[in-house]
Amino acid sequence: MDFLMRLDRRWLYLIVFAVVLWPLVLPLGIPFRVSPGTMEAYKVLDALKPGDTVLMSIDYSVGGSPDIDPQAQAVFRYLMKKNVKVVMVAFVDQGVQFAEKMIREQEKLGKKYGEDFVNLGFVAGVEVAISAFAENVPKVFPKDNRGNSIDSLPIMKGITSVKDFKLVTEFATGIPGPAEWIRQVGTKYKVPIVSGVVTVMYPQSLPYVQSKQLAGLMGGLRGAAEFEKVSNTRGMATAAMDAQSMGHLAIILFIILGNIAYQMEKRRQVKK
Amino acid sequence: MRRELPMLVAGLSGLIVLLGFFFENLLPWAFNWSKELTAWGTIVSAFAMGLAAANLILIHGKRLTFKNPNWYNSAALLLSMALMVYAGIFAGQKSYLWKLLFDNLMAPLGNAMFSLLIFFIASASFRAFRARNVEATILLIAGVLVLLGRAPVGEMISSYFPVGADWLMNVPNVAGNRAILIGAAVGTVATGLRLLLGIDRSYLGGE
Repeated sequence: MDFLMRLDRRWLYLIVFAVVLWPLVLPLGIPFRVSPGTMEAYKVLDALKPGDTVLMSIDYSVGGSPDIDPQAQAVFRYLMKKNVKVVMVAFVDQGVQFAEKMIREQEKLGKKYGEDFVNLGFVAGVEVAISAFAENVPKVFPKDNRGNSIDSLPIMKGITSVKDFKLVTEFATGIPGPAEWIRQVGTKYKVPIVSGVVTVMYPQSLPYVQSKQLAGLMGGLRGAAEFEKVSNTRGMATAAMDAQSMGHLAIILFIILGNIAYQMEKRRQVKK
Repeated sequence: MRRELPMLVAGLSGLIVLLGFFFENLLPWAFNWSKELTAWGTIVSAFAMGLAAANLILIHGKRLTFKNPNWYNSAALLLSMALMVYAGIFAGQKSYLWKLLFDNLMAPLGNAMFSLLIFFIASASFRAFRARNVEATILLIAGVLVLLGRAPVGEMISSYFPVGADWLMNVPNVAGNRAILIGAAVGTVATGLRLLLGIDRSYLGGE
């Protein structure tokens, strides 16, 4: 077991690389269940009617996007499929680009900017900005991200405050996240909030689901895959689940091997 | 006066927003002023972003001018910054340059940084995640259970893994996080009061 103690970390990197790559090339199709948080989120989104207007806040940057972007994409695709109107906004500067990317894809499929969706853009100020936006949408965004006047967009007719949205969905990698949206919108305006967060934020956001302050919660890539499964809109997250499984197994194997080596070393030292 | 005036402005602003939130109908003037102050907040934040950019240019400009150690990193930063500003403002977000920089450079680089985490986790799981005592062993078992319970492969091995992981996430985890949240909320109220009353002046710099 001496070799375990002296094992070069590059071997570990190589093993991880191989086991994660393998299912991406040859998918295994391991079945998975849908967690209650995602199921609740789906039920709320499924209850929306064509013509309803939903707010999507894209509050993530490139750093955490592999874990959260598939969630936002899956929800946006589903809302488009249901002919629900989507107003996109960002309280993290790079969020605007992700929103624009999603919109461009739907434009290629025939959906119309200004009627089916709009990208309002980014405003600085995090929680203060959310509060100002919730109070008076046209005051904070007199123009959208493409420079159109808000008054000229059919989708924005009748939208004055956050109360005019049937639902708020927000996708976050940090601040602002569920806590900020609950404080400034959920509590004050009683608008239901569905949140999508990166995996590391998932445990700390769970109390808000139990207290019903969040109508649904999706966690990381797994949450995206669950939403794709339940809404029947298969995408990249489902494909990545096998790789995630293999990655988890590799880490568990390393924990076991590391502990075997540690215990053997301890016994050897006691014998000495 | 240099300290008193900012303290007065901060205290009054905080008080008006608080009164506007709690006494919307009773004190409509406070409510209207709080709306105005909140809108100002976004403008001040935008200025703060500009100030941060100017500060960054000053710091790295000095490093570049005086050829400090690793000055080429500062040069790379300033060049990248200028390029992104040019692409975003002058070329526009629909331009080829912007798409090239954001979609084909910035996003993949960010994704790569995020993906590298698995290699650090793999190395740490082998070298640091050890059952050294009872507490570490409990943490290790809980960690493995959640790892297996949250991955589809765990469900395939045994249906008990997701049940165990769900229990850990929904009972001990939520209890602990709720305690932290409530504690932090009480702390925030106390900090807010200290700021409003001028006891905490750390936002003025120093002290």
